[in-house]
Amino acid sequence: MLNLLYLRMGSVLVLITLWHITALLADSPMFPLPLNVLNSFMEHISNGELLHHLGITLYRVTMIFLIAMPLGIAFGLLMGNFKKIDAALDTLLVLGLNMPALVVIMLCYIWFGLSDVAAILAVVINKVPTVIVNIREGVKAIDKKLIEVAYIYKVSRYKMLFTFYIPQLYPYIIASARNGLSLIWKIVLVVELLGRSDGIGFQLSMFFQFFDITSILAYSFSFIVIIILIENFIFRPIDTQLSKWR
Amino acid sequence: MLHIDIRSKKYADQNILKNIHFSLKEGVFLSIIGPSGCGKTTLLRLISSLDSDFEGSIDIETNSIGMMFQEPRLLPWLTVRENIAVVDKIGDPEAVVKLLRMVGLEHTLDTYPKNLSGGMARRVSLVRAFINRPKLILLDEPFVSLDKPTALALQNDLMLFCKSFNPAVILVTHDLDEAIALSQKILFLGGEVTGEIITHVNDHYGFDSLEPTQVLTIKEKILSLYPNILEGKL
Repeated sequence: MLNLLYLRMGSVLVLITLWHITALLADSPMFPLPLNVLNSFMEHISNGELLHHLGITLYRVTMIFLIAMPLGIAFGLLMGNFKKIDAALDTLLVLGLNMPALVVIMLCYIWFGLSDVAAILAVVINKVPTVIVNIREGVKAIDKKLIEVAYIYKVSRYKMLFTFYIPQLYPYIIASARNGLSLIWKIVLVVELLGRSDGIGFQLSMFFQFFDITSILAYSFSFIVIIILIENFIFRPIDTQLSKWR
Repeated sequence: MLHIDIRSKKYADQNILKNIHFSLKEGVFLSIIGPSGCGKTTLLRLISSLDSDFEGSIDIETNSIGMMFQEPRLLPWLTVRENIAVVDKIGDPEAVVKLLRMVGLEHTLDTYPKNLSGGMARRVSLVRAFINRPKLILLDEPFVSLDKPTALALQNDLMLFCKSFNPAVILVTHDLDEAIALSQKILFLGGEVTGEIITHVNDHYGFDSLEPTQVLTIKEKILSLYPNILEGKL
């Protein structure tokens, strides 16, 4: 375990070293040193604005995640299990999967105004189809022999769903949650940049206008830290807990 | 207890089962034997209502059935205790421990199935089949792919449970010795019921109640009626 930890830290150290050397060679305000980014990061934290905008973006990401995952899982289960529902919704799903995120965002802002609801809705529409596809694949891999056991012993619908069915889908759900989070926060920044006056995306667009590369990197760094914390303190423990029988 | 009246069961326009009529009383152990592809497993799936697409009727005077399959079919993400409790309708946690103790597995309560041997997993599956004290037990070749001593030990445990709970039992098998050793009645299946032989003279679960010479006599009688049974043909 310790060796793996060193490997994880090692790759980060290599990246920072390479960055440092390149920045020294470039010797330009457009390519700040890692240390300058860290200083800028501390500064944005101490004047309070980073945490404010980070909080707002995190709130949006969380809302989107909590809406998109259950919706995607529910429709994935329906489409995986019922041929008619699958046939009825499949074309819409392909449409949803291939609709450019930018178009969805623009349409939501035009139709629903430059509001938080429109922003959240836009990302949910972008995210749900990918969850559906993942879960529908998972349903195909369900072991019907175990479902027969539930049927023979006449277990309740609740147990059928949560004891016999969903556990077989955990790997698919965890995978969609992981790549879901990364997709969501990337799109949220675009949504904020296009039509909100707060959040990390909005701040980034401001820094971009001033060519303030150091601040751009400092803000990105803050969100990466959050994602790593979520991975280590939420996803990984849940994954370990759910797969302890393996 | 159980009345079977199947006129026909078709699969892709082909008759798998035809004209099968028999009844079964509580406390009777029936083996169904026949060549592979004769519809043994299909018949069991109809009785367990995993499949209800057939012409005829099946009346079962209980809604509590226990079943063992060719595989143990335990949920890998549940411990042994949870695997049994999840189908438990009576809800007595002591009963789980008691039945596991009867098959010598009380130490595996909190073990996950991946850490059980094949024989142990099947015994857990046996306990699960009996946890609701069902009046009808269905067994779909549960001894297949076990080595001889393990299979015998499992049969021993099965008989122990049968004597304690007195259910009607239907065992599907292709092993004549197994059928003779365990059952009171044997049904020979080849598309339809072709014969019925009462192997046991006593009125209760057999196993060990037959002398070796009696077993031989029965086997010879069967073989004279169905000389090709050992090759899997009727």
